[in-house]
Amino acid sequence: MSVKEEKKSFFSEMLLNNPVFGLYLGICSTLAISTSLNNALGMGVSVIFVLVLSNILVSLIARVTPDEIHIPVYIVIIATLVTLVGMLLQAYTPELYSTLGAYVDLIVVNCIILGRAEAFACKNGVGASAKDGLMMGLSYTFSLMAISLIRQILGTGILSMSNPFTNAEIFALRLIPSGFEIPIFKSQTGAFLTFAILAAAVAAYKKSIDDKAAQAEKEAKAAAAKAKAEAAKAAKAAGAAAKEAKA
Amino acid sequence: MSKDSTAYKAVLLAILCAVCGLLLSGINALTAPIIAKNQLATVMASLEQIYPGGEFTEVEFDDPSGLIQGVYKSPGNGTIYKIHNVGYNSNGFTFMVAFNEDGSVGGFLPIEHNETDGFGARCFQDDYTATINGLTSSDPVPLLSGATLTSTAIQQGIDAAKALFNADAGISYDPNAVAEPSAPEAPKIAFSDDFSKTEPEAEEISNDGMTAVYSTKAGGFSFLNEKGNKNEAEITLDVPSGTVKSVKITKFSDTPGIGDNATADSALKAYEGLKAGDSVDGVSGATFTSKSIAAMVKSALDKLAGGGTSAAEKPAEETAAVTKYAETEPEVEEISNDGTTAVYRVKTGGFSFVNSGGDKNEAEITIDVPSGTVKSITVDTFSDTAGIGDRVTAEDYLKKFVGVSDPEAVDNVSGATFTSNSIKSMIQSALDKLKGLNAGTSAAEPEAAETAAPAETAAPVETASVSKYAETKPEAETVSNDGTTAKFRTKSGGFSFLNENGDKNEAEVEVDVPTGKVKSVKVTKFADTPGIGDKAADDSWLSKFVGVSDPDEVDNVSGATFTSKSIKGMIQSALDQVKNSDPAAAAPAASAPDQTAAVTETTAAPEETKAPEAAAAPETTSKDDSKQTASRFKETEPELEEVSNDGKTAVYRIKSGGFSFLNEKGEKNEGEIEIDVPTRTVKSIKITKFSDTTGIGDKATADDFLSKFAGKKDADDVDGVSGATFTSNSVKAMIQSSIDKTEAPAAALPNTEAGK
Repeated sequence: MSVKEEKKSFFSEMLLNNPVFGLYLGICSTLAISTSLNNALGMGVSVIFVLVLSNILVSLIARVTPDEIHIPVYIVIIATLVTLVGMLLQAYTPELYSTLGAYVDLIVVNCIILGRAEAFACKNGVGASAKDGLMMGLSYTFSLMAISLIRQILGTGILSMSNPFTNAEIFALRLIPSGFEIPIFKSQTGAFLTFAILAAAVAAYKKSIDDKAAQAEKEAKAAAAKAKAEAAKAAKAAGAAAKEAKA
Repeated sequence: MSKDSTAYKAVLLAILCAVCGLLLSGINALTAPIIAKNQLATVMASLEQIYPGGEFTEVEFDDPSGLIQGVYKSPGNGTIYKIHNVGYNSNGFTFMVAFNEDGSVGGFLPIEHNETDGFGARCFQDDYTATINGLTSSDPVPLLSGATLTSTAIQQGIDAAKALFNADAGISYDPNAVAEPSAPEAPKIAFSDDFSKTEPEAEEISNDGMTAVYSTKAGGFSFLNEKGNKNEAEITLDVPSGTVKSVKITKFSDTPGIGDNATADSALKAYEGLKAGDSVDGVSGATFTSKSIAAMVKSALDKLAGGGTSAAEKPAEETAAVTKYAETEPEVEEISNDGTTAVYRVKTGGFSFVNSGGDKNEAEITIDVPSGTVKSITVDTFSDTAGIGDRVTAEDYLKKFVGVSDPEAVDNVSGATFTSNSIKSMIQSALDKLKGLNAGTSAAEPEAAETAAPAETAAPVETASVSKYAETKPEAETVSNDGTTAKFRTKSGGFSFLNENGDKNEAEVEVDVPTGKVKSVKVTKFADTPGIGDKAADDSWLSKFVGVSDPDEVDNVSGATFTSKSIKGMIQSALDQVKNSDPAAAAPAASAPDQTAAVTETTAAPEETKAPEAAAAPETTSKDDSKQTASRFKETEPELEEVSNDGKTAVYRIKSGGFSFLNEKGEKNEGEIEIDVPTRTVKSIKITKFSDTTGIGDKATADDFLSKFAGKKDADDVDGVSGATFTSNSVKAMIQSSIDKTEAPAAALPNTEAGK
């Protein structure tokens, strides 16, 4: 696989296998948190952290875990990780912690994490699981940032970021003059609208790729049939030639 | 142990949980103190608002009500309770209440609330907050009508805090006490308030030096609202102490049953022993009548103060007073004076004028004549920095001057010193003008009369350019003058001198005598702020003056305006010296010895050079005789043209500056004057162009005033028109210069030899 192809597959993976837009997993937190870039990044990093570690731990422990108790085992692992993240956030980024609020604790029941543990980590090796956790975490962060970018700009008119540790503003750009913001985008309604539109766009893209693939397949089939026919023709012709030669 | 056995599963889960638990407790041990610190920091910010700079420690508490979220002790200050309760909004609200160590409420601070604006939110606004702040830990908390739910929740919260605090401090109180609905506050009335609306009148009935009785009138409710009658009272004052002995209402015109609460004996007793500047509690519900009484008392006190003080020791003080504000160059014009109230139009420089040569501020000042105190100030042209200087022109500051007879009694507005001084200067000059007028009419105090016209003395005299820099008080001393180059040692005040009474800057200035241009400037002593003013003392800037005959051709150094001015003042004073020595030096002209004589003359006549206004006026050097007369009016710059002179009657067309010209750089007035040549008396005057204020100045151009000059030899034989001093002077200047001129052809041709 060339570098270019790998890159392409990374992005198509991001979009096509996106847990949020592709699989509709973890939407609860996505809708609630995506009000600003800061929140999106904070939540994203927390999820990546939990997801990668839980995938690694689950893949390590999978072989010694009996099927009947795998869910409680995974939940204990995930819950421990989430509590840990929560404590760290509260200690070092109190401002971020207060805006994320209960949603940090709700990472425990984020479907993506349990879902990846169930669907991937328990069946794969440590390395592959870690990579899967990172990919899924990045995809989740990417979706969250896409939604929050749109919501923050339309809802508040300002695109801004601040350092979560010191609360110092890194940049703040006013893109829409004050008075022309669309406050609905700050509310959950705006979250649903943004999410639906982005999900539709991803679906449309997916469909176009599928269609292309189907087309390509069809063409390939047709080409194969043609080749077969030609080969048969050629064989016939060859047979005829042979007959002639015999004769 | 099989992987599927129950025991295996149990052990596995147990181990997992143990490991996780250990891990978490480890992390918790690490982060818990940091989290606690963070949370305290958030709370601290609020705590700091109540006890700034205090030390706070969170203390354990046992609160049965469950409303208290935190208790913070601040040693030396008190205890703060953080309380959460639910009022109207179901999310509730959080606030803090603090009890000082003595039990009084030390602060009431909303932390977070979403109560409705105009209803529940009123509980967190000034009025109610002030009520709470006025309580102690044993007082019941009053409710706020219209915000019952919210204030009840606050009451419950504070009650819970009170219970804790009082138990802790050992204060016994009645936890079931109910607050009385708060009564309407009694109005606080100060004698310094503006009572002009009540139109107080006071008349002295008797004054034996110990006790003075006044019959006073002032409008109350009836007068102010229904155009009814004023209330009347007899006020007895103790003269030596200037305090009220008794108040007796002689006529009551307000609503019976309401207003008369304020005339009850107990209410009137409240005034006894008070003196000017005190304040008194009015009677609630009878505010108007209370004010009316206060106004009457005040008018009596004013009357006593106005009549009681001996006028003997004042003049000297006043001279000093007006010079205090000399740099603001005040100009005053009397608009009206009916003996009780005088109105003055005043202009004085503030920051803009003093520092950047901008416009002066203007105001109308009303003065109570008998008491000599300020009645009102209306600033109508404001030229200083908005947002800074205008704090001075805010009504509540201007009000402070009401009733004041010395503007220095009011503190300057910090950060707006210049504008403050400008206003004070206006007031002082109006007061001086008033005093001067009184003294002038009684002809008792010539000294006071002089101070009475600060405008005239301070008005810029165009002929002397140095007056531009007069505030820097430039001094120039001739070091050498060989007729081609004059060297001066000069001093002039810059920032340090003008603002901090520090030293003047000093410089050596060389001037090219024939051209009157600067040859070199060297700063020899620099007294201003290093790093700021020295930009203007730098050679690169000083060199710009070389070859210049008017220092204003060079721009000031930005950021070093004062020093720039100081330098320019020095240069100007040197140039003026050269100019002043000119007529003396140039007249004998050409020959070298005369020049040296001129030099000695310059150095020998320091008075003359120090008073460039006088020296520069051509009359003083050339016409000894008219020096006395015409120079009196020289600031009006009369211009004279002889129309005809047949030896019997001379007709002059003449222009002379009045109010408009002197104060607003407007046009001069113009007139035609006929003089009887043999007797040198005025035959007739006709004003052909009038440029001053109509309705004011034109009193001095009315025929009945002009006709007074007929047959007069000296313009000053006729008194000026009060309220139109400038125009009067303009007219007199015309007349005087015509009279002066008339003599010339009769005596001899050249002006220089004119003499009588």
